[in-house]
Amino acid sequence: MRFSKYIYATLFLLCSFTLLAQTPELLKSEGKIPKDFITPSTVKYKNQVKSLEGKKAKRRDKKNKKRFILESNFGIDDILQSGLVLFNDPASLYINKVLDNLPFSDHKLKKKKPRAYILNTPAVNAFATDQGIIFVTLGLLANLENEAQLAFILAHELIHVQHQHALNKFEQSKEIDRSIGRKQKNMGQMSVDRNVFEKSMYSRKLEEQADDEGLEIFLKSEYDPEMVLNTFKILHYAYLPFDNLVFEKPFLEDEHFKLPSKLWLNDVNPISAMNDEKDDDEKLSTHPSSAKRLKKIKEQVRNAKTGNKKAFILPESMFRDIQSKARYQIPFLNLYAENFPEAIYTAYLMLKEYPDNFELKKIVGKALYMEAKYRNYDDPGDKLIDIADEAEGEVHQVYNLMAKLSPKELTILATKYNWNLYKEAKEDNELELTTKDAFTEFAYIFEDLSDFSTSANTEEVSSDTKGTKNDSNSSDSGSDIEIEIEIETESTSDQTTAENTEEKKKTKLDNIEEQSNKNYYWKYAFVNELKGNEFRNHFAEGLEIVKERKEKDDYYDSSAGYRAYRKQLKKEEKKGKQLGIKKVVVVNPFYLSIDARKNDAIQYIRSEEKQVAFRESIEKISKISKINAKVLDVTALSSNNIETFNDISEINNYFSQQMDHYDLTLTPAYNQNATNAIAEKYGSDYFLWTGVISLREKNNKWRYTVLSLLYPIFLPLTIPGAVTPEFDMLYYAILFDVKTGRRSILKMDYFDKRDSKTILNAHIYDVFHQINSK
Amino acid sequence: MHKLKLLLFILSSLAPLILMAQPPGYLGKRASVNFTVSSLPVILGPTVNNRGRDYFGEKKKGIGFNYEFEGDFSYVVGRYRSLSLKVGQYYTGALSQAYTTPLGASGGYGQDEHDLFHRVNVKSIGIILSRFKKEKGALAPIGNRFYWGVKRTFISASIAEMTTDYRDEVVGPIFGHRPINIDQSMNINFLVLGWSNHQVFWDKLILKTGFRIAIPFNLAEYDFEGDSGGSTFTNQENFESAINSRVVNHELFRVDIGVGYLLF
Repeated sequence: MRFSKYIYATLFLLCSFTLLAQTPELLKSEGKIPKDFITPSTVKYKNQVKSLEGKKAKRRDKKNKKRFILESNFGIDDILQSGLVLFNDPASLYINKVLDNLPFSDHKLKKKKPRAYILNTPAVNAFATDQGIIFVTLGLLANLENEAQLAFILAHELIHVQHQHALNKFEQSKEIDRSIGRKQKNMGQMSVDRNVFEKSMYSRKLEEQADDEGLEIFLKSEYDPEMVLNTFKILHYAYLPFDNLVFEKPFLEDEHFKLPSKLWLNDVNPISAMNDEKDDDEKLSTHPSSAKRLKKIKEQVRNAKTGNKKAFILPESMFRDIQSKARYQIPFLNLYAENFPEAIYTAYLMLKEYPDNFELKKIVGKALYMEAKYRNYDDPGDKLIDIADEAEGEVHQVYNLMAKLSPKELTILATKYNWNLYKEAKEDNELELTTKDAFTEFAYIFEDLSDFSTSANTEEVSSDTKGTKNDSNSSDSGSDIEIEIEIETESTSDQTTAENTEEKKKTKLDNIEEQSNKNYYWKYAFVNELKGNEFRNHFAEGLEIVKERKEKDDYYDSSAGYRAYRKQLKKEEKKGKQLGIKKVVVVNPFYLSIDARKNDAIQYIRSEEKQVAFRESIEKISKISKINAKVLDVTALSSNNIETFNDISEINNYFSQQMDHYDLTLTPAYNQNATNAIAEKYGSDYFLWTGVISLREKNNKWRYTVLSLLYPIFLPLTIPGAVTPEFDMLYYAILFDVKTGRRSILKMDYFDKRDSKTILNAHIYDVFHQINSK
Repeated sequence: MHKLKLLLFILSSLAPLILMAQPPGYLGKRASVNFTVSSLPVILGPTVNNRGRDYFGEKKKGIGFNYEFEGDFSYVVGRYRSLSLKVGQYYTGALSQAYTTPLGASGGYGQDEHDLFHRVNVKSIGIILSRFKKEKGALAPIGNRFYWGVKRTFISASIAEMTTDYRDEVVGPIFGHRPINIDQSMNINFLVLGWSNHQVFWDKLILKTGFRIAIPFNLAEYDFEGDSGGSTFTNQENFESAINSRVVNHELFRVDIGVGYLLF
């Protein structure tokens, strides 16, 4: 009896693990926020500059070092606070464990306490900073074969940290700029080329050092040196997805809707062989070619002892689990990066592993929808064709398909795919928004559903689709005769009756159109969907939205509309937007100070100080303006605010997506459900994105000189004018209703004014007043 | 009375504008009181010292300053607009000539000639509409502004000093002269245009600097030659000409410096 209990418990655990494996979760930061993320950049800078004090060095070298410390700290903090870096998540914990397995002995390196974080991007890469931080991308984790390969890459990065390669590069770069600038001022492009060449050469030298010495550390570890060899192959093929499975045509089809073979490649582009001799562009590359690196390291590995060495020191299952998580995240990241073919392909790959995973299906739906949306607004089909032609491996099939589908076909496909998902999860707000907007796009193209068949495809539809435009690969795969045929398609039987009774009355054009329509493969896209009324109702809603938008456009095109528009503008100028919103969330107030008179134009320290003051002013003035404003700022978080940190990351993603979609009409975010949850949490749908860019420029003193010469009486006024710089300032404040995507530009003002505290206060208040008043 | 009614009508028309306005102001403060000193250096001139107490006749060297002291109440009526009611006062001096028939003379043989120095008290009220420059980052009441408005001056003068050239140099000083009957009060209406920069300190105090010009409504009628009289004009005309010339010259171009306080 006791024995059977254990069996049941084991089975239960196994089932639980299996279930967990079927529903992986996206990685996110956990635990306490490391100091790297929340220590102000200025504090880091000052601490590091202290270490330079007392050391003998040339004044210029010291100045360069200080500048490097400044730029690197602020640059790294930009990455750390961008929301793209993960910490204390399973993947970060794992790479840090692997890092611990590397036996490095250099005390300077140990003092820096090397630590690794995950960079949440699909790129395949790793890089290190002189401060001891190593970034490993999720794309790299998704592609590696084993733990040893990861260990070798980390060892390579440790050498960069140990020898302060970033600083060396910075100093060398300044030296090259100076020497080439001095000697070859008049050589134009030639000197630019030489500059790039010399910098690249130096960078390659550092990479070779990191390879050599990194291997030394690696060889001292318990990892199998043989495993290293494939690392360079992985890096070489970083441009390919993490797997290369055939993309099967039925993935986007159903029993009625079949994509014509013309859209499908018989043979995808082969994957280029790794050949060192063909690596022509190495001269201008910062890294030696993977082939050369592999060749060199092969010899060193051959001489190394391999006995009792392992591919995995930590349990292999741990690596597999982390890799699985990383791979699961890649389609999402491809979508966020707006690489839609890759998003579809990688989601397809993951669906092979998790066939029922709804989130992955949603990735495909969103990618189709966004591609259609972009193509409907500003057809970048040609660009996609160029990229598609260069794609290699099985992903080429997806690139090719996306490039060849016309905007109309893409819209049909996107509507169909998302509609079928929506039917399965009507409670999913994100899917609802996507589907609704897909229907709107669809309704822009089709005024009714008469072009679509309600009956199964019994006719011979040519897979090559007659009537395909010959002039463009991205054209409609059917004829495009614009003749309206009003055929009611309420039911199949009605339509059939109508066709029978009106057969004799058909004109020549009707017959041409009918003939053409017969060959539209997409005619059968909605055979199942049109059986009920639900699809038609959604289409009708889409039509209604299009009608409203067109009426609105027509109205604003009319003289009455223009007058109303002018009146509205005048009202807004006088009183502002008057949104009547009482609660708002302000995310990461931004401040950048630039002094264009100096070579090092970005004023990092002033920017940070001003940013803190800006945030404080926002908090203070929100109270004066009687608006409930919650300010979320990474730099103001304590180590326990992990939830807020993750929220800021998500909202940052939202903002960047919405700004990318600036020219599109309302588009839901890629992770709208997460955004909605954050809005619920903070009790407001309204998130404010605000910041200041302040610029100081050289003064045009001539006008003051002329004025003084003409009217000496004005000298007291002209002297200060002549010695002070010219000031410019950009103040922006954009309010998003994060649930609908609706945005209000409250401020996008560029003015020649100094960024004085009171001017900023006035504008901050004005923003809140516009939000609050009604 | 008619003019007062007109003024009241204008003010009552503007009242709803002020009451209905819900612009931001500076941190919600829309009303301010301001005190401005308005001045322009004058190089030479018949009455360099504006107050006209110390000198009579032409000052030969030096720079003098005119000062007008103004107080105003401003109210922000739009994000970039404000409305001000202002009162001001300054003194100046003016020279004119007057002619009187000699006492006891049989007439027709000339007149006694009087050189007069008038102490002139100029009071004014005005209404100003300001347009703060959006492109310069201004938001009423802070930043750069252009403004325009109307101003009515109420001028009253008194003869502070006088020298007389008697026709009969023997008898004249003994008998004196006849009274110079001139009405020494008059009004001039101006159109005011100006520019100023307003800065706010400690969220309460306003410092403003700027300049302005004021042009009389009936500009064409003025004589800018500086002729303060002549025997072909009546004493009253001589007086008015002198005052017009003086006041219009003062008002023509000013440099302003002022402080203000944000009330509510």
